[in-house]
Order: sequence, then structure tokens, then C-alpha cells
Amino acid sequence: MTTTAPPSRRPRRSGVSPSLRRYGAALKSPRGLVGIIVILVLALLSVSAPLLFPDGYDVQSSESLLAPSFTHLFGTDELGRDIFVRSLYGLRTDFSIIVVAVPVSMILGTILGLIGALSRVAGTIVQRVLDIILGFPGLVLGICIVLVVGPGWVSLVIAITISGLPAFGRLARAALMSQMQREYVTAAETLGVSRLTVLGRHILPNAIDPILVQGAVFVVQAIFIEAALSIVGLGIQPPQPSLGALLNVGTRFINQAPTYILGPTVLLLLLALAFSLLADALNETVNRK
Amino acid sequence: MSAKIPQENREVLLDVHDLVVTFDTPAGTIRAVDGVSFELKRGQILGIVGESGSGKSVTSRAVMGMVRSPGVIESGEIALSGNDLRRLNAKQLRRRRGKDLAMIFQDPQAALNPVMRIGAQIEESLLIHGSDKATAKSRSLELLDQVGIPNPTTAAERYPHEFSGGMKQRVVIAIALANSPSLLIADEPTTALDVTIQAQILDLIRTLRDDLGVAILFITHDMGVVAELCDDVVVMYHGRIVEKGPVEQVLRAPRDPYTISLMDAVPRIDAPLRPTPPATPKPVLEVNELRTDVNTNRRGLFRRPEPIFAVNGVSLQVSEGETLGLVGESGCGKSTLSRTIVGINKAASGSITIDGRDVTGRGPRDRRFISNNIQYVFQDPYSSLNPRRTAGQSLEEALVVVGVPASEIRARCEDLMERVGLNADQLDRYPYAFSGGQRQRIGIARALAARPKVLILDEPVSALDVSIQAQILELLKDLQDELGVGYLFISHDLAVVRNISHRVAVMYRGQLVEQGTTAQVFDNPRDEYTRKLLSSTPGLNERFTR
Repeated sequence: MTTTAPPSRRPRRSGVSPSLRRYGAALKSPRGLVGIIVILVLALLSVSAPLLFPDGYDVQSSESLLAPSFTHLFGTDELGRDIFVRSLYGLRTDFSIIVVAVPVSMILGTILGLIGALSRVAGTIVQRVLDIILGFPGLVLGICIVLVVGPGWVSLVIAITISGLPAFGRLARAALMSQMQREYVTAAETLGVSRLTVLGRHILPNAIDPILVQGAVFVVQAIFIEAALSIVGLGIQPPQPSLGALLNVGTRFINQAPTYILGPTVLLLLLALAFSLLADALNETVNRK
Repeated sequence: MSAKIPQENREVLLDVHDLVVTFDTPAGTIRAVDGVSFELKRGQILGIVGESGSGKSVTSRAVMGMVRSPGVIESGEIALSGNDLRRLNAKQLRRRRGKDLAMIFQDPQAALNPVMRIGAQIEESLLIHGSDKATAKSRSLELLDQVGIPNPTTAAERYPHEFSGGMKQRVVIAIALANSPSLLIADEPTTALDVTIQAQILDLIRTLRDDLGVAILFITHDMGVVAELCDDVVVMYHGRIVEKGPVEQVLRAPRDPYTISLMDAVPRIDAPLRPTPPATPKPVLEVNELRTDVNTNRRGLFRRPEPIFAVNGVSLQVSEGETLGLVGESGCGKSTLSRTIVGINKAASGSITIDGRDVTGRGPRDRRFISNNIQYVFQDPYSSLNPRRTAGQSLEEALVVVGVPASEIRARCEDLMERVGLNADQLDRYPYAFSGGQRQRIGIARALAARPKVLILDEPVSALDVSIQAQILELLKDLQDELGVGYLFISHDLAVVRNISHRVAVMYRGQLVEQGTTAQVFDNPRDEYTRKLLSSTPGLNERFTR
């Protein structure tokens, strides 16, 4: 042997796996760091909302439609409720939707995309179905689901999950197609390793990078789908707040109290921005290799 | 004309002096070319030989003025007929490129634009350097004729995909010659080609030198090609020139230890044969009248295309402890044959028998039996190991499949590593930490995990440098003597096949045209194609026997 690599002293399977370390590196870049800090701060605020404001989001008073001040950071709404409090509770709702819908969509989409490895026919059919979903605008799809399930948290989660499937499915299938050509996949097959094991061991790990990045991108889309459906009144129902629901009501008072929607908008943008920064940073580290 | 001028009196065309090219990497600065000096005269072919990473390609790129970032020409002179090319600015350099110096690339497929007619591609290089349309057209036909393409007028109207690999390389050469450059740089121009085609291209290059008097800088890793073609040779190692001089002198009486080891590593077409394996061979793999249809994938619901038999009636046997070498050029069906035997492709007719059991049908139980008894070693050690899994995990996968209990796996992995000449403590490394040769050893270890009776080795050494190649061949021979495995050794390299095989089969267009002991096939080839193959192989023949 002409070249000898430096001896590795890392004992077997201890420490952090290299792929996890790679994702960790995304947090070291300025963009990733800012993204994750903003997300953590917002998550902390929304989780601690019941502790900070134990009276809840529905405390009404006679001081309606006030502009932002030190007592009411974002002002008050038409029923004299503090918009800052309602925004934090709204953020809570949004996080609860993201935390459920995005991972479910990711996992389901990936599984659907990988079905092609087990049966070519099933793979083709699934892709065509995903194409049909892709052809539906998110809002129209949401309206259809709301018509069936009725407005609320559940239908939002379902709508968001379904609208995410095509992207995840496509990415997983792309990874599958390219990996199936690789010699190490052929090697595993000639060794007699089962299809399912090959899928989990050799193909899935290579599909995960683009899917994770898409996951972060999709969070942003999810927030906007929630907002869009809530703005037209098909999402979260009053009095429960969500960022989208707040905007929905706020736009009605845009003439009397233009500052009504300011706070929720800023929070929504911050959240979306933070996730897209994170997605960007992830994308960069993952593709650098 | 120039062929008549004696070598010494010719004018020096290219003078490279003390060239240093460095690459800034995160791991520090690498001196890829470190103080390289050589001269090239008109009408001369200078070979630069070296293994991968020796700096030979970087040297040629430096001469072209095309060192890519992060590479930087640190110091040195590159003088083309007295003018220092390093002093030219980008525009001046561009004008000289193509006109005074031209390049031939390794892969003709990648060097030609697939959507342009080849005539237009040749004319393009002429038009850029200022000829008018009519002259460009007649000159391009003249060039096509010169590089030996029949019917230039019709050929100019065709697209690259309508040509074979060798013809495409001729077109690439025609483009390089378009503006009558005085210096031609050829970077491994025949590596991607079959031996018979390689022989034709080498002939062409020789004719160009003799008829046009161009100077050629020929970069290669193949000592045989150097021996056949070059006048002078420069041997590079780790960015430095370790030896240079006339080919006769360097190859016959190398002085530098590296050159000596390189020469010893080259498998020779006249080396002694392997001793025959013990008598009463027991056949472990029998293939009978096998045919494989490679056109089944395109079958639709309503259409059943004509079958294309990549393997068309092949019969062969591999016995315990014996190597059957399978030789053939690209597209002859040798890989399809091996893939059919391990069950990646489906047999259309004929039979495959392993250890007396017919496995042609490949039921679920047959599959297990096949993978326990026949294993496959791939050509490219870089793509046959999953980069995300350690060497240990790759071996473990193979062991788990054959039902080795978890408690024994670690010990078996260590044993396998040592058996193929690696250290057991390297098990936890990822593939990137291994060199090409080491990776191929892991590939062999993985194939041996199931203790198979037959190994199918599909060009296992052709992606490796010669010195590594020799080591892997030795390893394979030792393993065979020790374990009694039968090898089906597939290669396009006759010298390698001769080195390791007891018997040889020659494949051409899906059929075996000749089969016999190594001595029979190499010394007394009966088939015409075998003879052609043998005569095309550039070898270190008697002329260079030390």
C-alpha cells in the first residue's frame, strides 16, 4: 500500500455518529446559529405562555383596539384582550401543528417514495398519486379537507401533512433511483441481504440529507398554510388564537387599528425566517460533504 | 520530413524548468508538482509515466495554462519555442491554446458535444482562430481523412453517438490538430479504449509525429504503451521526476528504485505461468449453453421487443482451486455473463450448476444457496463500498446474512481483515480512510465472508495502479492456494489474465471463441480474434527484458 491513512483511535460506535456531527456543523454557521436561537426563544416563549400569563388568552376588558404600549406590547384587540398574550398562545398552536404535521408528512412521504423499491408497479402508482396532490394548490386542498373533517386543529394537520407528501416522496424516490444503481447496493444483493434491509441500511441514509433540508423548508410552508386557512376562517376557530387566526381578525380592523396585525405578523415572519435560515445552513453543510 | 532529422539536431520546442505547482487544501499546502524540468523536441514523443497522484496530469495542465483553483503555479518556467507561457495574460494564452498547443482528452465521449455534428465541431476550432467558413470546411474534411475516418464528407454530417469509441477519439484528435499545433498534449488518450482500438490510436499518433513533425507530450500510467510509443520518458513520483531518459535506457536499465519497482510490478506477457492446480479437479461452477436477454427491461404492456442476447450460448466450468480467465473487450458480454451467474440478470435459456445443484430457476432457496457459494468482487473499489458504513459494518453485513452468531462476528471480521492483509484495528474506519488497493482488499474480504466456493472477479484490478495491482494479484493467488476457491477472473488486460489464470476463455460478441489452458491460448491461439487481441496488446516484450 502506498498511502496509509492516519490510524483511527475512535472506538466502535461510541461518540457522535459522523452524520449527526455533520448536521451539528450547520448550527455553527452564523445563519444556522441565528435560526436555531430564534426558534428556541420562540419555542420557549410559547411553552411558558401559561406560566407567564396564567389567566389565559381570553381575558377581556373595555380597553379595545389600543395601540402598542408598555402595558400591552402588541396592543389590544376588539374585545380588549392583550394581543401579545394571544400571539404567544397562537405561537403555541402553530408549534403544536408543526411538531405533529411536519414529521408525519416527512415520514409518510419518505415511505411512499421508497415503495418503488419493493414493487415497481406500486412505486409508479404512488408517484402518479403524488403528482395529483402536487397539482392541487395548498389552499384548495385545505378547503377540501376542511369540508370533509370540519374546521380546526385536526384538519389543519391533515391538510399540511398531505400537501407536504409530494416533495418528500419525490426526494426519497430520487435517492432511491440513484442508490439502486450503486455497486454497493448490488453487492449487498449478491450477498443475499433482503430488499428491506438494503432499503433501510444503504438507501435510506442517503435519502435523509435532502429530506431533512426539505423538512426545514416545509415548516415555513406549513406556517403559511395554517395562516392562509385561518385567514379565510377555515383553520383554528375563535376564541383559540393562532397566528393565522389573529391575522384573520386583525385584517378586519385594519382601518380602525392598523397596528393590530403588526405583532402577529412580526412573530410569523420571525418564525418563518428562522426556519428558512436553518434550512439554508443545513443545506450548505449537507451538500459540502 | 522530421523523421529524417536525427534526434539530437532537432530544435527544443517545449522547455519546462523547475516547475512547482501547489494546492492549498484545508490539510495544508500540497506540492503536487515539485521542481519538474524536462525538454521536448519537435517530432518527438515524450511519455510522462506515474501512478495516480504522482502529478503527471497537473504538469500537463500547467503547460496548457489550465491549472484549476486551488492549484497555483508557484514558480518555474514553461517555454514554448523560447516564449515563456507564464508571462502571457489570459487572452494571449487563449489565442495560443488550440493554435500552438492542443490537448487530447482521456474520454472522447465527454470531450465531444453530443448535439453538434462532428464536422461543425472541427470547423468551430478553426473559425475561432480566424479562418473563413469555406477553408474551415475543406480543412475539416482533410483532417478527418488524416486521422483515418473513412468517407469524410458523410462522416462530417454525423453526430458523435453514431461513432464508436475509437472513432470518437480520432475526431478528438482531428480537432486538436485543426490549427496545426506544434505541441500536442495527450492525457491518457487510450485508457478508455479497448486494446485493439488502442493499438490503432497509437499507430495514428505515431504517424502524426512522423508526417507532421508535431511534438507530443504523452501522459499515461501504462508502461506497455510507453514502451511501444515514446521516444523519451519521464517517470514521476510524488510530484517529482525520479528518472528520465530515452525509453530504451529507462525501461531496460532503470536506476531509480521506484522505477525498478514499477517495472517489476507490470504484469508481463512473457512471465512464467502459474503452476497448474492439483489434478482431478472437481467442477464447482458449470455453465451450460447460457443465454441472457438484456432487452427485457424495455418490455411494455403491449410490446415485446426482439431479444438481444448479450450472452449467447456460453458454456464454461470453474473447478476448485482453479482460475478461469475470461478475456474480452467492452460490450462482449463478459459482465452480463457474470451477473447472470450471481443472479442479477435472468437467464433466458441454458443452465447454471453450482456444486452439482442446478440453480438456473433461482427459487428462494436457490438464492440463498447461490449467495452462499458464489460471491462477486467489483471493479471499482470506490463505489462498491457504502461510504457511510465502516469496513467492519460492511463485513458484518455479509456475515449476518450467512447466519454467523453475533458473538463470533467480531472475531470473524478481524480474521477476514488479516486474511486480506489489513489490520484488524482498521475495522472501524470508513472507506474514505482507505486507499484504492485497501478498499479492494475489503471488497475481497466481504466476498470471502460467506466462505464461497467460487469468486467472480469482475475487472478487480483495472481501477488500480500497477504496483497495487501486483499486490492484489498476489493476494488473490495466495487466498486461492489457501482456501481452494475457484475464480472466474474477468479482465480486458491480457497480461493480468495470463498472470493469474490456469485456463483462459476468450469472449467475443456474446460467445466464447476460444477456451484452453493459459499456455495454449497465449502461445498457440487458434482463433483469429484471439490472435488480433494478442498482437494489439502493448507489451514489455523481449526488447525490454532486463
